[in-house]
Amino acid sequence: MEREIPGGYNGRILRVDLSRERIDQVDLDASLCRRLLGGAGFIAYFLLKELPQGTDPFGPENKLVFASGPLTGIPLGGCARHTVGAKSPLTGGIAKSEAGESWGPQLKRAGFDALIVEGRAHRPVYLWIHDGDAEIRDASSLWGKETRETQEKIREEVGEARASLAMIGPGGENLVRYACIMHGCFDAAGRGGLGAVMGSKNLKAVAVRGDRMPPLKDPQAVKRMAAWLKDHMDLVKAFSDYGTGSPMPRFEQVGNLPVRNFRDGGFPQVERITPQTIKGTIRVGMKGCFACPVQCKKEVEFREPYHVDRIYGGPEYETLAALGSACGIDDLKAISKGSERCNAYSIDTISTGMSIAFAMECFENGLLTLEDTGGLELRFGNAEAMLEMIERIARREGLGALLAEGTVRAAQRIGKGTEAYAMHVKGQELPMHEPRLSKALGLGYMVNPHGADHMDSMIDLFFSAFTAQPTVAVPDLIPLGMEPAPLDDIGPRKVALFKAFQAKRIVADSLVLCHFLPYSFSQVAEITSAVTGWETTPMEQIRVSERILTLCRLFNLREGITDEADRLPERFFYPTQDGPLAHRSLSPDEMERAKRYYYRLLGWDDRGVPTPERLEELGISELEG
Amino acid sequence: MGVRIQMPLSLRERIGMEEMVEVEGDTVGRCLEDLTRKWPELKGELLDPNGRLLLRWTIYLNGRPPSSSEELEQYVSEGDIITLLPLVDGG
Repeated sequence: MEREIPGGYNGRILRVDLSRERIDQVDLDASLCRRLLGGAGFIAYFLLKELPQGTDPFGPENKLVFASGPLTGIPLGGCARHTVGAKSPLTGGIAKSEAGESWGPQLKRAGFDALIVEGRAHRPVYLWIHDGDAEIRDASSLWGKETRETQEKIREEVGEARASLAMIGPGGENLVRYACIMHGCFDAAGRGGLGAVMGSKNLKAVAVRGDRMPPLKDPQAVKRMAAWLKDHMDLVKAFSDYGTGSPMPRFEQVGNLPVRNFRDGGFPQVERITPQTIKGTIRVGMKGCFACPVQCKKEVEFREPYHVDRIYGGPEYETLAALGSACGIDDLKAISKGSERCNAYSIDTISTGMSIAFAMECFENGLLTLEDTGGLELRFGNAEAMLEMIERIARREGLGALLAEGTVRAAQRIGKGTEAYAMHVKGQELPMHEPRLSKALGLGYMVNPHGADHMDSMIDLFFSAFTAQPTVAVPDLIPLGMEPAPLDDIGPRKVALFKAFQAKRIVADSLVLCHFLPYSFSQVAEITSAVTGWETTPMEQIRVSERILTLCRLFNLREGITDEADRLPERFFYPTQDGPLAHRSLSPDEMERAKRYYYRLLGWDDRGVPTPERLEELGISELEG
Repeated sequence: MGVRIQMPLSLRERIGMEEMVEVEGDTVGRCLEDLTRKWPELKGELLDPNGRLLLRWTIYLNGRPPSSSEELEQYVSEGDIITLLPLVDGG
């Protein structure tokens, strides 16, 4: 059992109880570092260990955990990230989401590996964490403000223009169940409703600033990896040049682009909303996260027909599709305005877009009327209606109050069979890649403990090859024995490949490392060794991912979220109305078999319950029950 | 000088090719076909059975990506450079 704090960690956690206005600095248990790494691993551990069963996500007893990992803040591309988690008001299970910018590196430099917030402040407050110290400050005058103004006023108040802000706008304050936490004005810990948890605690923002990075074991090895990245920037050139989404035209061609709430297949006007078009029209710059050479964040600005402020960045791929094609909208300026408003209000663009798409389909089928929509013609393609719904959702006005609950609760309230139009897993709206096209992606959506999530899923088509036969081959998993699997298949080989892929992603979310950087699994282990001093390998890190996934599973089972919740919406068992997927759908039996096999690979039983032997093997038996 | 294809590092290292490969053809698609004639082992790595570029690749023509899905139909002329880049996308 490790007793000394490894390189890359401070060994300190900041605990804040807002009800009691109490701040404590506690030691990090050194034995957790190697077994869970940080980020998503720490979040799974602390939430399972410290939250009682049945905790109200909006109650003071819920805990909001901001966790860095050993790689957070090191001078290497992709290492600016941290993870945020809590019990989700959207799914009722465990939530976690990552963000970039410089908040995580600043927390690390301020002397802390994690921040755990509990309780509920008696009035709006913000936290100011700086150089080994922390204080609770009044935020009454900031309540109701958008994120830009919040950031400006807090920086002014603390007298530190370089302070990083994790904050919420009106969406978080109004407990929109998919409110996000903005880090700066264009980086979101987007999913799971973490911004609503922050709002429920009357916590407007957490400002951080620090200058003391804990020592790394082998800084020269980190420098060598940075030099390798510099020599291999062609691997990320598409991101540097265009940000996320440059393959959108091809996504549409093959059927990966969701169209009209995943109902339709074709969206021939896709070229109007691509990053290529953005670059040639409304883009005014590119930005990036702390110490990252990729600079993948778009900045857009224009004044007509709306004013869009570049401080809110520009639409990512997920936003272009969620507010765009998924709502049948091809108006780039309207989508960009929607992206800006979501970032100003702190609401997740994916769940916002999919909630509006759900309502549009209900309206077109006569299940919502003009009376329900307050006179809005809420049809697919109506950009002005989409923008108006963002306003109403953030403020919980009219139909917006219903959609702010997420698609599952909205469908339950409306009834009339509208559940069929709620595109979600475990209550979290689907992201913008089509599972009918990539079966492992469908499995990833099903079994992710946080609900439908693309970041920890493998999109089969991105790794396809047609050498001897159509296969999926993930190059850096081949040395781990993960042979290529048949392309259009979800048999045991594909499931095993997906599980190994998911392991790498969970490890990245725990170190915490950006998924867009081109490091192989072996290189990820090398970087970990350089920072911490451990002689580690991908094999050990896969084991860590299994431990983390099992902790998440135990959390969800304790909340009554069982294997029944690991399923896709019915829609995906039928083809789309038109387009490239007009003759393609998933088989429910095949996906069920794949799910059971995935459970077996994790050492869980047929119902997805971790076996006692597995818990003992992973060294987490004491956390069950 | 004809059209040149700039090959990605991952394929260069694996197959032992030069960075720049000269090819013939009047469209991007026909240049890629010529490339796979010269290097048959690349065929299934680059194109699907319908001759479409696999999703894991993107191509730039003279430093710019295609603005539409009709990327293989783009006309090329002498001196043009087609760059083949790996692509993984999300976010």
